Amino acid sequence: MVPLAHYLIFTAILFTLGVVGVLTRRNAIIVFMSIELMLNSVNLSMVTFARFLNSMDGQIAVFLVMTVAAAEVAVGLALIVAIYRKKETINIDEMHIMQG
Amino acid sequence: MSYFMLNPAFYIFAGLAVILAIFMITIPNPVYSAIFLVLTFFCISVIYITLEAEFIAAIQVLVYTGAIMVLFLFVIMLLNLGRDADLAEHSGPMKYISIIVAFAILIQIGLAAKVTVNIGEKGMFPIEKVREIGNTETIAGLLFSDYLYPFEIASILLLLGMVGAIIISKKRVE
Repeated sequence: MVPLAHYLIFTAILFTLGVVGVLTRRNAIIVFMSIELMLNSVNLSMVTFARFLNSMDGQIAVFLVMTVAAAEVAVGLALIVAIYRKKETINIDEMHIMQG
Repeated sequence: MSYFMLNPAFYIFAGLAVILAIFMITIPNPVYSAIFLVLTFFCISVIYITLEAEFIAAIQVLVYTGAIMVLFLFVIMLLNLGRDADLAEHSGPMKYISIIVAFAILIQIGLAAKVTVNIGEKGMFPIEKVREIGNTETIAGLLFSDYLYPFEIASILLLLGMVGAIIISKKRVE
């Protein structure tokens, strides 16, 4: 069996790539996809711990996280579409309407 | 014995997932980015199978690569992004600062994993028992007994998300 540490290293690398995506890209859709990547890496670590601790709770948590992620994507993409209608761009540097 | 003797599927698909994720965050075109993300999700679902979580692997393919990515592709095509302003990226110090921040996070996660790894009580679902009952049946049994309230709240949340998405993206009619 693959050791626990290898799974955790893999999830940490995926999470870090998600962070890099959120910080470096300016396209709002790609920022969103990077957030999905981070959610996925955390899901994977939860399933890993569930397996290594002989528990099913992690898999239930992943099920619920996926539900929330689906709702979040639906609402978030609707917001992107709404902002695009108003401002004609999805470049996040130009979305400063809440800056005051 | 090398580590690759342990479970080659994990190492192959983990490496592939990391490479595809790097492509996903670096490629400028959002459509290709979405396709690389789909492939990353497929690799992750294979890794779920190496952990004997077949149900999670199945809903990973159904929900993420099926539903969520179709939504992403629809929005990308709906917005018709072809102009330079939409495809422009950060240049200069911001990129390097964010990569340094990301490395700090990676090191921090590594240290936390090293300190706290394998702490926790063993649960009551060892692999033989799950195999005997069946992965999906075990999850279903727990979802409809111990986790009934979270399950119901999740269903209400999905309904609210759907209604919210329709209201937000609807065209205003004067």
